[in-house]
Amino acid sequence: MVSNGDRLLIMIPAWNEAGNIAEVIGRLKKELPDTDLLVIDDGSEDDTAAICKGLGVPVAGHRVNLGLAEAVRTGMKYAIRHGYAYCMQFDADGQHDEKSVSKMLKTAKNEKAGIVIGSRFKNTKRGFGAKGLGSRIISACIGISGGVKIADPTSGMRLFDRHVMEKYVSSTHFSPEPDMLAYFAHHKVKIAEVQVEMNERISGKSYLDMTGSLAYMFRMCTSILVMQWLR
Amino acid sequence: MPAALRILLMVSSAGSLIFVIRALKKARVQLYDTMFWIILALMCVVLSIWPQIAISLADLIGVQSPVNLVYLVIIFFLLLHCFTQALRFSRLEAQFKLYVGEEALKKLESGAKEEET
Repeated sequence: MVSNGDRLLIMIPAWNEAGNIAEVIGRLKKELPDTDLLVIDDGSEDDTAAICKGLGVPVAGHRVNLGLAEAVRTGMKYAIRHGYAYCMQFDADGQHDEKSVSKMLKTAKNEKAGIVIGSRFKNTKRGFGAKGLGSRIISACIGISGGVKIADPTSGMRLFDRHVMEKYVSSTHFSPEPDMLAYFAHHKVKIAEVQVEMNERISGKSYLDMTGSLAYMFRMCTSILVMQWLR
Repeated sequence: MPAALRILLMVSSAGSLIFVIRALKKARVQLYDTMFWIILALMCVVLSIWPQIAISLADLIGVQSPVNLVYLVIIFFLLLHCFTQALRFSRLEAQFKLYVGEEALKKLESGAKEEET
């Protein structure tokens, strides 16, 4: 096995992201030329995998679409087996800002944090629209169950250390969602937040509509408050 | 119970038993998976021939109407079955996800090795 010391693997779960992925990889390579990338192609039917291979990025390809939780699991398994100390979930749709990556890694090392969140609301206040409200409710649930304050629990930009990765891949209960933060907070893993900017998506649209958001909220709150105690 | 109703019950329960057995033979499912449905269909046949069983049982336990007892027992078994199916389904899904993920990594590793040599 190659030793990757205290290095970071950026994993990019992608599902039919042919329209965005090349630009995202280009930006990452420019900003962080020495950081390894891995694309997890979650059963795309477009050219996502071919584009990544063309750019020289390793691709782990699921034959069928399994969803984000499994894409992240596959990426973490790769990171563990190749000896990476940290891995990071980075969106393929261009929402995440590559300039924040090194800041997050530094925070993980300095503060010995198991999870570092690329947070939209660490220094700026959340709004009171539907999104802000949902975020506040989830934060409150995590506060009750995990005993920590997290300003941006739904941010998909997260960095994990090896301990968290190993725990995550060991069980099918975990998915890269706020309930995972509650679980790890409850188990005394330090969670840090770093203020980041988020971009608009390059192309395509978000997968959560009104009913989807409500179902998501319900699932998260139940999971955080109730299921937490059954794990 | 009126004779017409009893005959209807007998015919329909015997019909469903035959339907279940035929479907199972054709679908070639595993033996243990078929057991639940055969026993359930058999129970219906037996009850339609000897409804006295349900009546005396209801009397014995203290359920006012025999039909309530029949419903209660059937719903209980269905729920139990539903739950074991959910467990199986969940396990199967976990195994499937594990397999697909591992396969993806294996493919990536073997591809990387080919490039090296």
